[in-house]
Amino acid sequence: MSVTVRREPMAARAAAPAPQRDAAHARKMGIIVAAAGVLVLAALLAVGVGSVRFGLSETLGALFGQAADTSSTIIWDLRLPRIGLALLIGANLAASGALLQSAMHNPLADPGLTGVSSGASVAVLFILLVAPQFTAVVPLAALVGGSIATVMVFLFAWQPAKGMSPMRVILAGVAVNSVFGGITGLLSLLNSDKLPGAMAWLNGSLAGKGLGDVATLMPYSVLGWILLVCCIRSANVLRLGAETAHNLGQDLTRTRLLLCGTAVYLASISISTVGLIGFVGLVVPHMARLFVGTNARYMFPLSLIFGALVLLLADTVGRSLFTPLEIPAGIVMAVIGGPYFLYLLRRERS
Amino acid sequence: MISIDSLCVDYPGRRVLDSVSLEAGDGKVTTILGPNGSGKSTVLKAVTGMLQPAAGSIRLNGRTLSTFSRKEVARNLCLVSQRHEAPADVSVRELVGFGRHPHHRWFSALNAADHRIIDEAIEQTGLQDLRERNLATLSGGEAQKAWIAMALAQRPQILLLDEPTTYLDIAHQLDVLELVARINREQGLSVVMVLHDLNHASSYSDDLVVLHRGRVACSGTPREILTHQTLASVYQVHAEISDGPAGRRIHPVARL
Repeated sequence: MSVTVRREPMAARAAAPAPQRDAAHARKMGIIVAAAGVLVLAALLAVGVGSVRFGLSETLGALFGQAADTSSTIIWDLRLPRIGLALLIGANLAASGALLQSAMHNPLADPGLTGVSSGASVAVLFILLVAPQFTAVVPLAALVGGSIATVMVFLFAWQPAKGMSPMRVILAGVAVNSVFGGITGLLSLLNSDKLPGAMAWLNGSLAGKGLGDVATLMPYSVLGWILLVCCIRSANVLRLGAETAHNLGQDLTRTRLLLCGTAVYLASISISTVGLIGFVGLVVPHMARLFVGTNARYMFPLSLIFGALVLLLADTVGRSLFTPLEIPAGIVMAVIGGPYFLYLLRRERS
Repeated sequence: MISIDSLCVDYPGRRVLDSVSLEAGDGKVTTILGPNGSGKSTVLKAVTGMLQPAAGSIRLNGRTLSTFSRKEVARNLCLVSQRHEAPADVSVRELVGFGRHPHHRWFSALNAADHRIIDEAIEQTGLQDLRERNLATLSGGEAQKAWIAMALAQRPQILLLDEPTTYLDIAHQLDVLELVARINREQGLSVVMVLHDLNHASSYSDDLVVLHRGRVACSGTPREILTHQTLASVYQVHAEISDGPAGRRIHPVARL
């Protein structure tokens, strides 16, 4: 009797349609391909947005070298570099956030909140204001600064017996951010004469960049994305928790080093190009998870695409909303991202 | 075969295990008993290398544990921990597939042999009908079986279970313990587990090791160990003891 009572609900539930593995895979790949299509379309439309407007056909014409000289100049020299940068940097920051979230077992981790960005930006600002003769090594400096910040977060947040609790990571991030924020303030104060030159960079503006900047960032970004793909399996094992990952033979220290190192690299190359843009790394992985779940095999690629899309939108809104006034993408992201972060905090609590 | 010799493990500021020696494996089911805080789970964590010994040695098949790579350890023994954290959208099949992780290099994908082993593990644990279901939709007992299936897919020699029945109702407790006993019987897989329930330990174990304040109080067969004297000295409990077909039964009567 007791046996039948126990079996019944199991049989009933088993009769419910079970999602097939291959069907799920096809669905998730479909979402990724569709998102990529939307991204391409959005990028083409964004080319047409501005003081001079272009339709889709004019944009395509200019891309394939069949447009009037002036519109071709506007598109190639002004719009495309900017859009290209938005795409690359959005993708990099989103990937960085996705990696930090999995390495720190923390849904709220992102390069901004954990202090990685502020560490990188202090290093960049130091070179811009104090040692401009070393401008060539700005990306390297950003990498060093970001790494120092990450190590600090780990030192503050790590408890030998308990690991890293989400709360401690955020607290450590606050501490690290305020330390580097203080240094940023000090650097700005001591070099206030040179500050206007660094202002656009500080606010995360994509304005005034050329195709050269895109060409410089491109290979670094591609390397970062290759590293991202190499992180997929480790990130997936970490989903089961640090202890289970350890029991499955995963070297936790090495894994965290790989994931955080890649995250810091992706954030640093982006920050050294355009400055501080927050919240992309926080918001985008959550959006990606809503669509394809937590499996990094789908979530990481979709984060790249959504990251590019989100920053493209932020920058396009920023440069078209109050024309001729331009709002840096970093400020647009802060305005959107702040409330979204609060919403996430609420949801985490419940 | 695990041989632990004079093992000491420290947490910051205090010694959790003090000179613990025990042997387990060899196709047997060994259960570690003891009051809360006696160091039971710590023994398992030290054996998997999660905690570093302050002194003493742990040997796996005669070879010192620290000379194994992480993945080598994971191919020989695996621990199903007490609490599980996994995202809600991991399916049973996907979870069990993680059991093949220690057998692969980071770039190699699951092959046909892996899928066969995964299917076998799912069948052994009776989860065929649930294989595409997400973990979040399973009951506690079903989820525990899924984690055990993952451990089986690791194809270890020794299965370590940290309080496998703690969060389950009595029916699912028996389900899980029967499963463990069957795996041990049919596949010769050695089992080392931590349990709280003395009667379960008595029914399902070949050997018992009783820990008390980080030391081994006594070890031996259930009948040798589960005596008035042990219960009084380790648990400070007076109990009635009887012997039935399922082994020795303990009925706690009063706190001493």
